Amino acid sequence: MTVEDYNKAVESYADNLYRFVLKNLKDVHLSEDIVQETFEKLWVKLEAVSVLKVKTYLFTSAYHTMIDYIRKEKRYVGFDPGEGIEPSHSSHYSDLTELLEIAVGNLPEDQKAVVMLRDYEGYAYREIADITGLSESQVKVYIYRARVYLKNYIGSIEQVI
Amino acid sequence: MDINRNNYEEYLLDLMEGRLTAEESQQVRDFLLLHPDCDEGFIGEQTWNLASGTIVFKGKAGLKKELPDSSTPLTPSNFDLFSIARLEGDLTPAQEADHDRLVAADGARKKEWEAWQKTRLTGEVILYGRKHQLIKTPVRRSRMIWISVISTAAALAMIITLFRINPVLTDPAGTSREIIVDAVDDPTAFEDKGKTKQQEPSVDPVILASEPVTFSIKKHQDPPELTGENQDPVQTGLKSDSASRIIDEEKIQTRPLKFGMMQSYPKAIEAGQYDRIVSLDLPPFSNQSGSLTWAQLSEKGLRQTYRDFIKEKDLSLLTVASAGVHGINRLTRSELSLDLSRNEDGEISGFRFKSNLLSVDSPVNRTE
Repeated sequence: MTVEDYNKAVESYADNLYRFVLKNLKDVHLSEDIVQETFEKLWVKLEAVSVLKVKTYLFTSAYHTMIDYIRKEKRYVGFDPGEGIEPSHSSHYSDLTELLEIAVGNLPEDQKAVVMLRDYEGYAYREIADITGLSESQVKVYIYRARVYLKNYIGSIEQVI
Repeated sequence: MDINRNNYEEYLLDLMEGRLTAEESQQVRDFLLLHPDCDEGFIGEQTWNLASGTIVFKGKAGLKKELPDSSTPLTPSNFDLFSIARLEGDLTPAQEADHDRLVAADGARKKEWEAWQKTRLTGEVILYGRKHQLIKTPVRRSRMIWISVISTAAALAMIITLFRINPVLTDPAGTSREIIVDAVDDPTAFEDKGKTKQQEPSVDPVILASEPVTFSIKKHQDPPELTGENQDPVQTGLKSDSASRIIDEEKIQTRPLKFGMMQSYPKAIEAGQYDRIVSLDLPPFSNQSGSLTWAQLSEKGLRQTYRDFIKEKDLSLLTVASAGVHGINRLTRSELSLDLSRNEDGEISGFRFKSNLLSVDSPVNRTE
C-alpha cells in the first residue's frame, strides 16, 4: 500500500469503521480512539497490507481491539436471546430504527458484531468469519439467532404499543 | 466349564451379557434346571439389556434446525429458517418462488415475513470527526535527505563531544580571545571584519568550553603572510605549536585549521540546570564549501592535531562540537542545541543534546 492508498482508505472506510465500533460500544470517545488506533496499526503495517484487503484488515483489527476492550472492562455479559428480555421502557420506542438499535444492543457481542458486519457492510459469511475468527457455520448460526431475537423483540414491543 | 453353586452367578452374568458360547449357555441352563433355587427368573427373559427396546419421539423432525441449502425443500415447519435465509440472500430462485407462494397463500405467514424483513439493520450514516487527523502527508525525498544529513552531522558533533570533553581548561586572564591557528594561510578571509579584539576578563575555566569558536578547513599550499592582526603574542605562539608542526611534518596538502574567537563570551550562562552554548557568528558557508569531510578529518590526524592544540590553547572538543551544532543550525535552520549541566561546584557534570525531535542527556566522564 502506498500513502495515497492509505489516505483513500481513510476516506472510504473511517466512517464505516467508526459506525461499526460506535454501535457496538456506545461510547463516542472510545470508539474514536479505537478507529484512530486501528488506522495507526494500518499505517505501521502499510507495506504488508494489500490494497484489496485493507477494509477487511481494518475491520478485523477494530473488531479485536473492541473485543479486547470489552473483555478487559468486563462489559461482556453472557446473554441468551432465547430467554428473552422484556423491554422495560417500551412506550416511547415508536420508531422502528430506534427499536431495532435497542434490540441489537441487547445481543451478545459476537452476534451483534456479526449482524452489523452483515447488514451495514454487506460482508459475506466467509469474510465475517475471517474478521471475527469464527467459523463460517458459527457466523451463520449467530446471524440466525440474532434475527430470531430481533424479530421476537420487535414483535413483542409492537404488541405492547 | 465347571459350574457349581459357588460360581454359578458368574456364569449367569456371562450368559446375560452374551459372552458364552452356545454350548456353555446350554450347560448353564442345564445347571439351573437341576438347581431351580438358583434360577432367579432371568432365564427366558429378553429384557436384560437396558438398551433393548426403542422409544421414538415423533416430534424429532420438527426440532431439527438445519439451515436451508439449495436442496432443502420448503415446508411449513422450516418457514422461519427459509425466511431468514431469504433475508440473507441464501435461497435459490426456485426456493424464493416457493417461499413467495407460501407467503401469498397464508396471511399469517405474510405477516411473519414482514416481521422478518424488519430485522435487517439499515445503513445509518455516521461520520468520523477525526478523519483529518488520520490523513498522512507523504514525506518528500529532499526533506528526508536533509533530515538524514542533519542527523549525520548532529551525530558527528555528538561523537566529537563524547570522544573527549576537557572541562579542566585554563585560560590566563587577559588573553586575547582571537586565536588563529592557521600558520599557512590568511585566516582573516573567514573572519567577521567588524569584530575587534578585546581583552577578556578572567574566565572560569569551565566556561571556556562554551566560548564561541569558528572552525573551518581550507585547502592552501602556501603559508600565509602574517598580518598585523596575526602577529599578536598568541598567534605567534601558535605558529610554532604542535598543530602547525604536525601539518608541516606530514608534508601533506595543507588544510589549515582556523580556530578564532569571533566575539567575547557574553556571559549568557544563566542560572539554571543547563547553560546554553551561545550561537556563533560564522562566515558564509560558501567560502568553505566542500572542505570539511570526516575522511579529511581522519586523514589529517585531526584528533592528534586538535589534542595538541587544545593542550596549548585552552580549547576543548566541546567548543568545536558547539561550533558544529551552530553550523548545522545555520545551514538547515534547525534548532539543535548543546547544553551543559553543572554540579554544585560549578563543574560540568553532563551535557544535553537537544533537537525538536529528541533530547539526549549524557554525564561527563571526569576521569582525566
